[in-house]
Amino acid sequence: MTGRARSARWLLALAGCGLVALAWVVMAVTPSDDATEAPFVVVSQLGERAEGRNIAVTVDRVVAAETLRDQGWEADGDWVVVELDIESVRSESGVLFSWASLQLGDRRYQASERPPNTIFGLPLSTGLARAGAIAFELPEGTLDEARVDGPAEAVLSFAVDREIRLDSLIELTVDLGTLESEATVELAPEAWGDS
Amino acid sequence: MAPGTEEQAHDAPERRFAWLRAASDRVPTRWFAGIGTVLVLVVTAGFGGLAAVEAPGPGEIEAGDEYRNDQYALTVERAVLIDELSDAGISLEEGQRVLALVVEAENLWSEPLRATLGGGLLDAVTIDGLPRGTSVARVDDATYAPWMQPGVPLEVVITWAVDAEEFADGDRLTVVLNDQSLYTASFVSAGSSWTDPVPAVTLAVAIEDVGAGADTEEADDATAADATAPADDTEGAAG
Repeated sequence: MTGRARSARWLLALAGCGLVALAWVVMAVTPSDDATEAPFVVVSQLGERAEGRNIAVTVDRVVAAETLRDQGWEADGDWVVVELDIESVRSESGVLFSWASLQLGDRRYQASERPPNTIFGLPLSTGLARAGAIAFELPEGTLDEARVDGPAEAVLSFAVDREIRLDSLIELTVDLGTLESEATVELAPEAWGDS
Repeated sequence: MAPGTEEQAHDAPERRFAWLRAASDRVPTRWFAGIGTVLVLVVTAGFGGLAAVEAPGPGEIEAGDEYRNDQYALTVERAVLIDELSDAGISLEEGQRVLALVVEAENLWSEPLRATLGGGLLDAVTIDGLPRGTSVARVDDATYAPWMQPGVPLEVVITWAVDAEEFADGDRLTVVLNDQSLYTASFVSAGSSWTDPVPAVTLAVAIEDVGAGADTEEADDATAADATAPADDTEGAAG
């Protein structure tokens, strides 16, 4: 009798611990509030076409430059130039290349609007890729620091709206430390390319 | 014999503290409130009494000094008065001229900020007595309403359309640099933004009249080349 009562008490204690553990697991696997509205990330590789809901991107080349030139315009700085093909997939009405971003550590840089022929911000077409380049202006010394201090992973991301929540986001990770580098880069002229 | 000693032992402490009770009975406890009030007044009078104290106003810096807050590093370099400055994206009505501040700015936040949007430079840099500025443009390539990338300094002109008679060469302006607070939206809206500008420092800067719009380019070039030496002065010294 007493033996059975004791084992029942043990069972209860065990069940209690089990419930606490279960609660901890549920807490651990519950997505954060942000996760409910996070973008759908499509991871892309250099030279590989990545497709999302209404965006398809092929990044052809990522190059670092000390001087960026675009026709008559020129600026010195720490530039990261991205040559890419981009098109919309489902519709093209009012679809702009509105999000081009480079995340490095906790800082986020947006593609520069300064070079006259940047394709950042331009309208996109369905089935007809726009080929061209965008450029990111980073703080002076960032590229040198990345080369000296080793891996500096930067995440490039592209989308068709400044509101990226719950929409496709094409991402490409590059190492700024081992990036191809040129003293002067002429921004590739924009053109209509192959899809 | 024994009970008597016991009684004495009982009485002894009472008698020993009787004087204390007698003394405390004599203390005028009902005066305490009055004495306390007088004491407080006397002490506070030493620090200026109950007079209203002015809240600490914005501090003062000089033109050319850098001011930093959580959002920006700002250096107001000079103020110019120009006939027109269409490159900077400002259009004028009849009888108006352009008042322009040349400012070196750096975005210290982790996200790009647009100079002309809410939380931008038009809110961060204001002039006492004038409404919010009209436009912002880069000095080097005249990019209108530029984006400010984190940690990348840029030189801009912030412009106001003013009545031609309102300002003259040599007038002193009071420029106000404002601190803004980072507001992180929750519930229905989302994202972070800088709002609620509060004056942080002021600085006095003398207006320099550079005349017609044709001189504008020169003035801007001179600014880009050497912000501290106005073009006119250099020429004067050479001649």
